[in-house]
Amino acid sequence: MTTGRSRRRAASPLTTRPDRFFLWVCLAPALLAVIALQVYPLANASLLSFREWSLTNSTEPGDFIGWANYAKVLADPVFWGAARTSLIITVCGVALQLVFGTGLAALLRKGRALHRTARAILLLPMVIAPVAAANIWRLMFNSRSGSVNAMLASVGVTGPEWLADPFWSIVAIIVVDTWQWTPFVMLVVSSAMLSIPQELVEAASVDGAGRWRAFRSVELPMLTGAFALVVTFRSLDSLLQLDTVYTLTQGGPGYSSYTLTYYLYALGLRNFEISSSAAGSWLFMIIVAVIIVMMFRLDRASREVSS
Amino acid sequence: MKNSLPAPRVRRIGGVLVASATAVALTACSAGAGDTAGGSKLVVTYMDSGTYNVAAEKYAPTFEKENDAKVSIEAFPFATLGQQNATDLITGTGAFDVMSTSAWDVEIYNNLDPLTKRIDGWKNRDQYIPELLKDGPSPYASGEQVGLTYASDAYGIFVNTKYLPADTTFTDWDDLVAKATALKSTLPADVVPISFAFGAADQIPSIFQGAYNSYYVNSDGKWALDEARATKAMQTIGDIAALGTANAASLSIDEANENFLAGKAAMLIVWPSFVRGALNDESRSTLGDAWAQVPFPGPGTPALSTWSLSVSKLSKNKDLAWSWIEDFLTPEHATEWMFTYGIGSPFQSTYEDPELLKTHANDLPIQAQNLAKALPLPLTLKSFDPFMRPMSEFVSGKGTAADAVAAINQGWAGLEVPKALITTGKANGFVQK
Repeated sequence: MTTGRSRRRAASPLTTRPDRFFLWVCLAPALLAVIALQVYPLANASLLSFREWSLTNSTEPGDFIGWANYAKVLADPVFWGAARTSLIITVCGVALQLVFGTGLAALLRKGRALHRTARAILLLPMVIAPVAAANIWRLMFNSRSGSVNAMLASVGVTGPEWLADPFWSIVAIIVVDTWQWTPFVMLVVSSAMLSIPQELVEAASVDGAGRWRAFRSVELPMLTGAFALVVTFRSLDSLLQLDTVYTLTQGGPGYSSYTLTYYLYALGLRNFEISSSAAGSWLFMIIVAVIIVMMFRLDRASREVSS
Repeated sequence: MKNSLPAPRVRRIGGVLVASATAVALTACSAGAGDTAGGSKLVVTYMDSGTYNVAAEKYAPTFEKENDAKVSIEAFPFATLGQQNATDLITGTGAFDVMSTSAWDVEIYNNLDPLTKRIDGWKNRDQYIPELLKDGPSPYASGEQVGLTYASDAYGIFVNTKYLPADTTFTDWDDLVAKATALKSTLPADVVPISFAFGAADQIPSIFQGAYNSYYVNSDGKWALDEARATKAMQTIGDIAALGTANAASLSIDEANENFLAGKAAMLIVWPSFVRGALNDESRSTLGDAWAQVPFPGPGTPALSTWSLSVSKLSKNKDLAWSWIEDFLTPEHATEWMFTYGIGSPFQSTYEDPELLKTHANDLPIQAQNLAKALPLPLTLKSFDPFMRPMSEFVSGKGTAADAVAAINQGWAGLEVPKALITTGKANGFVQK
């Protein structure tokens, strides 16, 4: 007869002291890398955020000044404007990507050659560097010589000043983000669709459900996990994006397309306000963490409701 | 049954790990040693503009041969050149010996080597435009000149002489707006009175500077604008935007230039060095000789753009670094590069050359006149952002001129003005008395 303790021991492949030592030796480089690359910078940024340090005044961090850097960032209207813009871009962009990605995945789920080719072509935007993609779109959005307004003109619509108008500049960023990352959503949702047992869909059609009804009532609820994954990843990515905004609008006109990452870039790397930038980064991290936690809770709640 | 690896194998794996780590460390050390080796090597930064850096690359082999030195030209786009210089200096890296600096780098002037004595004995000093040696046009720190301007440009106005005479003068910006408004009704339908790159937001302050004649730093030593006068200058920006093409708010510099070069605008407001090459090139301009530069109106001043060569305090080859500046910056080079690359010459001799005046009488005398009165704004990059963005918002239709001025003053409220800039600002009349 074996005890629970000995059963656990038997289940563990590394039981002896030399084994465990070897395990730690193998793990040590990875642990050190994690500490050096993740924990240390975060801890250092946290310490810096409570000190006074502008690189243009001193090459060394100054005195501890408590929460002053946080208060300064929180009192800056540009920070709140940037937070609002980041949220608008993320919510609108991810929603559009979800709709288009799911639609494309549903349309191209068959294994026919045409579908496979279309899928491969649709994946192309995802492999283009965001800076290059934004550059291409900057030319296309040119109100006079760009192809977007030329296409609109061909159907009798006068295109807007995409990059010179406070509203349309944000729309332009959302369009580029949607164009580039819809294929990612399509890819993930396609994989999730393939894992749905076909018997369920067939059973629904036997019960008289049409294709749309079967998709809505049988497949869509089973894709909730994939949607949660996609929304989490894409929201994070979208909140963190800097290259598209930098290349497309430089945060303009005025501050209208300033995002949180652009704000932090300008604060830290252009103005050399190191400690304020560290405080801003922590605030940004908290905002992102809150959003992610809310998403997980929503996902859990929706699963409970559907189950 | 024991489920562990045999001890010799563990030792072997451990040995491989240690050997790999040692190899990586040795490689890193040897690479580092290679970087620091080398006697008379000079690293020089330039803006990656396709002009300054190209001229430097072209000249470098001659310098290398004459000085038995190796010169490396590091070119960075405008957006990152200042960052590269600043990071190198304030982190004590010392990778660059000679740096291209501009008025935006005022916060790092204290980290540059004083050049006053060298410039006093400089062989080409008497041919140089004297105003460019002053604090403001040239970089100064603690009373010492820390850079020598090799490229200078003053914001200018060009007219299409088909619509406006070559000797047009504007008493001030109100007069310019009035004349342009009157001209509008007489122009063909596809020609606008003024072309300006409002889409390049960093250009808009140049009009403001021309139309505004008051302080940028108040008597408390803080950045601030005189609200009434600034609002009037801001309104001028709006008036000029209304005299442009329908998409004036989004025009890039190239597009604004193209309007003028194609004969679709009666006036062009621009950095002359951005368009001079095209204006003198028949394959790029439809105007032929039908253009002229006219005096930049007041009550403010033309914006001044200067690129100076400075020596890093961290340089280990300061004499060689000065040799590069002295040999790169000659009247002959400056004149040649002005018409080859569009780099504005800082030498008076270029603008007084009888041969050049024969072919460039519609441009050079006014350029020299504008250069003599042009000044850089007493701002840093940090303060320029809250200065130009509200202007850009105003042009794109968001808020009034007064709102934009209020937004600028609000954006400047928490910023500290560097001491060096207050001295320069006082010297140029930009500080409230």
